[in-house]
Amino acid sequence: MPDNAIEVRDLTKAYREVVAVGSISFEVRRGEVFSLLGPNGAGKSTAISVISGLLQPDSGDARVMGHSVTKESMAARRCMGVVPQEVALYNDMSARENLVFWGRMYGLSGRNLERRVDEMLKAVGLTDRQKGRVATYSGGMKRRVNIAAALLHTPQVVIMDEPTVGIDPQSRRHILDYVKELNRQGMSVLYTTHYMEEAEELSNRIAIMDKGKVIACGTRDELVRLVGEQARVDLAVTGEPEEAAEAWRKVAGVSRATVEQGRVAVLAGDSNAVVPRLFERAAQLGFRIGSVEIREPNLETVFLALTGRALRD
Amino acid sequence: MVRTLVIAAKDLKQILLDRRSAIFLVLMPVVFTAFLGLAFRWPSHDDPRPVVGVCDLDSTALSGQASTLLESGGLVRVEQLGRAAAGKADDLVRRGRYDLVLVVPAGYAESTGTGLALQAVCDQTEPQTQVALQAVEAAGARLAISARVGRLVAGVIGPGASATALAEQASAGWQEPALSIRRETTGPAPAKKRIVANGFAQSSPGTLVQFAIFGVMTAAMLLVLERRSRTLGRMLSAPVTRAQVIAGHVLAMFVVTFLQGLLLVVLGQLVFGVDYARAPAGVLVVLAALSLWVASLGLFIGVIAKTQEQVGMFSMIAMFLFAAGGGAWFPLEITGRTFSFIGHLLPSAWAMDGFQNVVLRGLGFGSALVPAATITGYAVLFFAVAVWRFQAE
Repeated sequence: MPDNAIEVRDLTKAYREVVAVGSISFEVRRGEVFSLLGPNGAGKSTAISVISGLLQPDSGDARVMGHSVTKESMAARRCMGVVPQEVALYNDMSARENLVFWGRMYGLSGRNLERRVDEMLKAVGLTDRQKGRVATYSGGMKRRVNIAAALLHTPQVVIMDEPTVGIDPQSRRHILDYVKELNRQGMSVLYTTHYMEEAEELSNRIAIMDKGKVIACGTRDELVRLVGEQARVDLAVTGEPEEAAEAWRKVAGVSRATVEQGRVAVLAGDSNAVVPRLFERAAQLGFRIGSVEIREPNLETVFLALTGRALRD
Repeated sequence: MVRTLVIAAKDLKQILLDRRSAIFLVLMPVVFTAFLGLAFRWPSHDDPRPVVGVCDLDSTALSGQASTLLESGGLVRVEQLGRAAAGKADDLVRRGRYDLVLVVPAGYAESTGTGLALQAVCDQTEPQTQVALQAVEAAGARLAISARVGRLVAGVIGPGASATALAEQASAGWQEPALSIRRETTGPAPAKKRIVANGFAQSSPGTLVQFAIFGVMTAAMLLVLERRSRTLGRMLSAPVTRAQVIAGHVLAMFVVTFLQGLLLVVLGQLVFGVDYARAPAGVLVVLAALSLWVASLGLFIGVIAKTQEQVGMFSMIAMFLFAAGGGAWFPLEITGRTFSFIGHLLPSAWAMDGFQNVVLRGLGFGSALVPAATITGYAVLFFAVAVWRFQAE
C-alpha cells in the first residue's frame, strides 16, 4: 500500500499557448483531506481533470494509489471517485436511477448495488425523494446526489472539484460535514475550492494555486507563518480608494496596501501600532475613514501577501 | 461488454421517458406512410396497356422507327431504354417492370432481309404479353417492308428492273419477311409474379428510411446533452473505455432504429398490403444495415454538434438530403439517369433499392445482399469519422 493516495509530479497541461497548469507537484497523503485553494482560473479544475483521467497531461504524471493515470488509467480510476464541479447527472431520471446507473459504471451489480444505493441515499438525506426526477430537485439536493454518485463503489480516494459552488448555506454545511465524515471513515480527499473558510475548516494540508502554479503548500499554520503573522486591515474610505492605498503604502509598518471591491486592504505586522498611523495619514490628506476591520492572519492574508490579489479577484 | 449494455439500456430508457419519442418514432411515420401511400401513384398505375421497353443498339433512322411505330399503334405504352438494358432484358421482364423488351440489334438497318432479327424478350405465359407481341410483330413487319422498299427504290436490287418485277419483289417481303422476331421466355412464371405497384410500395419503405434518419435527432440529442451536462466527462472518469461509451450509444441507436423499422414493416405488411413477407430475411438484412448506418450517422451528428439547436439543424439537413436524394420521397426511376446515379451515392438509395427489390420487384433474399453490404460500408465510414472526432475531443 503506497504512503500517498495521490502523487503529482511536474504536471503540465496547456491549451494551445495558454498554460493552464505549469509543472505542479504535490502529494495527498493517505487518510488526509488535501485542498487546492485558488481563485477561478488558477488551474485547479485542469489539475483535477488530469488526475481523474479526463485529460492527458503534456508532461509529468500523477499516481492514484500507486497507479499512473497515464499508463494504468483503468486501475487508477477504479481507486477513485470523482465529484465534478458541475452537477453531472441525468435530469430526466430519478436519483435512484442515476445512482444505479453510476454504480454499474463502477462495476457494482445485484444486491450489493441495491444496498449501496440505499446507503448513499440515506447518507445524503434523499431516501424520501429518491424516485423524483432530478430535474425537480433543488440545487443543494442535486449536489448531494452528485456526491453520492462518486462514492457508491467506496473509493479509497475522493476527488471533489468545488462541490459547494452556488448552493444554499444549509446544503453547503451538509456537504462539508459529509466530507469530514468520509475522512473519518478513512477516505483520502482531494478537495478544490476558492473559499478560504472551507479549506481552513476541512484540510489537513493546503496547496495554494495561482496562474497554473502551486505557490505555497503546507498546513494552515505553516502557510500563515509564511507571511510572518501579518494582520489584515480592511478600511472603507471616502474619496478615491486608490489614492488612499497609494498614500498608506508609505506608512511605517505597512507591508502591502491594495484595493479590493472599493475597500483598501492593508497588511501589517503590528495592526495596533499601524491603524492610528493610517488615521493620521488620512486626516493629513483629507480622507475620511468610514469603517475599519482588523482580521487575524489567515489564508486570505497569505494569498494577498503572495500574489498581491485577493482570492475572490 | 456489461458497461456497454448498461449505457445502451440507459439511453433507451431516456428515449422512452421522452414523450416526443412516441410522436417522432411511431405516430408520425405511421401517419406519413398512410398519407403518402394514398397520395402517391406510380406512373403506370392508371394505364392498363402493356409496357414495352425499346433498347435501340442500332441508333439509325430506321431503327428509331420501331418506337414510333409501336406508339402510333396505341396498343402498348413505350419506354426508351439505355444500351445497358440489352444485357438486363430478362431481368427487367422477370421483375415485372416491362411486359416485353424489344432489342434492336446493332447493324439492323443495314442487314434487313439478311436474317438479323429484332429480339423480343417476354414471358409468353402472361396475357398482357400477347398484346405486346402482336404490336411488336406488326411494327417489325412494317419496318422490314419499309426497309425493303427503300432498298428497291434506291436501286439496290438491280438496275433496269421493271415496275412489275419491283412490285413482285416488294410483295415477297410481306409473304416471307426477311426479318423475324425472336421470342424468348423467361422461364416458368412464379405463382405471384406480377406485382401491383400501389402507392404504399413507395411510401412504406420511403417513410421507414426517412424517419429512421429523422430518429437520429433523438439519439444525437442524448449525446450532446451528455456532453453539456458533464455526464460524459463523469463517465470517462469512471473505469469505462471510450470504446465502451461509443459502443453503448451506437447500440442504443441501432436498437431504436431497428425496432422502429420493424414496426413499420409489420404495419406495412398487415395494414397497407406491402408484401415484405415475400423475402423477410432480405428485408431484415437491409433493415439491420440501415439501422447500423443510421446509428453511425447519429453518433456523427452527436459528436460534431455542440448545441441542441445544432443537432436539430444537422438532423433536418441529413433527413432532407438522404430522404429526398435517396428516393424515399419519390422513386428514383422517374427522375432520369443522372439524378438516379447521384442518388445512389447515398446509402438511403441503396436501402430503398433493398426494400423495393422485395416489395416492388419481387426478388428474393439475394437481391438484398448488395444493398445491405453497400449500406454497411457507409456505416463503417460514418462510424470511423465519428470515432475519430470523438477521440480528438
